[in-house]
Amino acid sequence: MSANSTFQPVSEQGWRRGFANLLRYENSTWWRTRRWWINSLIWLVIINGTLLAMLASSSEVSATLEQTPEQVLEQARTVFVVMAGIFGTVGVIIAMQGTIIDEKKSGTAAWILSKPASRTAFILAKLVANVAALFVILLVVQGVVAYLQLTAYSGSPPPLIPFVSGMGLLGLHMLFYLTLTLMLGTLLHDRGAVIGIPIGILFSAMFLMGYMGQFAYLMPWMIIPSGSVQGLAIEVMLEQPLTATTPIIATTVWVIIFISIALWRFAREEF
Amino acid sequence: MNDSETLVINTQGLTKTFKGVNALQALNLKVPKNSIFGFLGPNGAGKTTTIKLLLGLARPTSGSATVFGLDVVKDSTEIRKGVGYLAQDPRYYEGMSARETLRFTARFFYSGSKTAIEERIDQTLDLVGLADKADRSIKGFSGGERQRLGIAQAQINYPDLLILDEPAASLDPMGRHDVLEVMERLRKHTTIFYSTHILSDVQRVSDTVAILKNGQLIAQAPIGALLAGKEGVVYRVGVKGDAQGMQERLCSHSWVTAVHSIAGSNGSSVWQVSVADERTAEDQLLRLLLEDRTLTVTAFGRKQHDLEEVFMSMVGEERHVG
Repeated sequence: MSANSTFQPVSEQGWRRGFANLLRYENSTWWRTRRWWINSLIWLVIINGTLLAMLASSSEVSATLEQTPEQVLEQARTVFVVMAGIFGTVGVIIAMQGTIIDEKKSGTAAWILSKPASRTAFILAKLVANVAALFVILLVVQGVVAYLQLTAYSGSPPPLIPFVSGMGLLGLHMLFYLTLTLMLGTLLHDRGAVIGIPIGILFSAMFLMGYMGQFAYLMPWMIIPSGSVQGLAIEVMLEQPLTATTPIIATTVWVIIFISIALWRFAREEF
Repeated sequence: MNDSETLVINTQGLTKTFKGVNALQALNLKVPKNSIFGFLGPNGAGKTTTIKLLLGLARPTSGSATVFGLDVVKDSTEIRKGVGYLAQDPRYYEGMSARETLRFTARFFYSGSKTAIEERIDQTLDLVGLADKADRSIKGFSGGERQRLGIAQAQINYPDLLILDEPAASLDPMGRHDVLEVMERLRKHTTIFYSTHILSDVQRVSDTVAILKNGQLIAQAPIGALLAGKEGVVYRVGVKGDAQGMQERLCSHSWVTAVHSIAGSNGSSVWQVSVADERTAEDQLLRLLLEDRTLTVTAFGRKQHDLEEVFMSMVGEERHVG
């Protein structure tokens, strides 16, 4: 229609069509609502609150157990990684559970896809926005506060690069569950299964890792402390040599597989 | 002119099967440019399935379809640049206001000057009568307001084709009136393809109609041709007096094909007179009736079918044949 000549058409083509608009919207669901600070506060209380409680009671505990301040610090880092690795990941799964399924069920996905937006853009916008938001809330905010707590306790900052590298591994661990939940949202129509499967995989590490043998190396379980496993993230934070690199590579491969399946499946979704 | 120049939608044997059930069977649909095309059928006839196939929201099991001459499977995104769509049960992001919804929708089509886009949004809100509720959260919108917002978002991009799935189904008579009025206002700018089962609405605004039943197309024609019915030109005549003699005299004329008495009591009769030659009938039928002094003509006029009658007879026939 002639009236369209006064407007500048969107220039994105192919899979990127609609991406910028969808990403702007997805970001707004985090940053233009109360969601970001409510989540930050909840996870701050759970993750850093536990660390604070541990450090606050450390003088009595270390006196009883005859621990050095270095040992207390080491233990504090382990507690932090366990809390961020398990509860932070639960946070990721909760945040992601309805991302795709709710839009499929409510009809908003069909509405968006009746506009000139690609299905790839729809999925990638959700992935990018949620990764960014959840990493800021569950890694950056928690990491900074934990780092400050550890610094305040010991009087000097822990080595920064190992701490950041350990947080990076925690991020990879979360990314595994984030992309898994996203993928399940494209495959399934039931919220219960979408949240249950990742939670099951996360907690099965605690109970079943001893029976998994070599298979455990192909999963992200060894990244965080579990049973007799110290956890690769802790090893990195404590500047210890890595006991294995296979879980890191395998988790990265899983992430790529999950994203690929999500894109493939959603491209075939019928509304 | 070839089909792609005159037709906005063209389907060839378009078929969709869900788990062994034929939702749509070999649909051949031709929607001319600049028409208001009413797509009729009972619930479950396959109307929404057809619309979803045209928009790329579902994939055909077999057959093909083009919109603007582009293939609905391969060129779906390109097609959607020129289409506006209102779903049967429109859903939007509940946290947004009407203005934000339109802004979000507009950004799928336009970038650049924010002022121009905001002006366009204001015009659209005015068009659908939502200007005073523009900044209210749509969470609290009534069914009618949601439907108006649906029309607004569907035509924010000045589409060449507006696809409306049951646009007036959930509305009260006032809301329906408003929606039909908006459609009439838009007809000069765009082709409107809309599905409905409200036949009076179709008769009011459509110029072409297709009827779908059990996934099959049972009729497609301009509304005038459809309303003329299969029986051709028929007059409805009411008389008092010696009806028998006049009935025989009428039948003796070559341009009268049949005279059926459809009602009668106390010396009055009502006939349906079918004619083969419309012009001769116009010229002579009433004159013939009035010439007979033993008869009093109490009613005379061309029989007008309404769409409901046509629809019911077609759907009923199909049911009978099936």
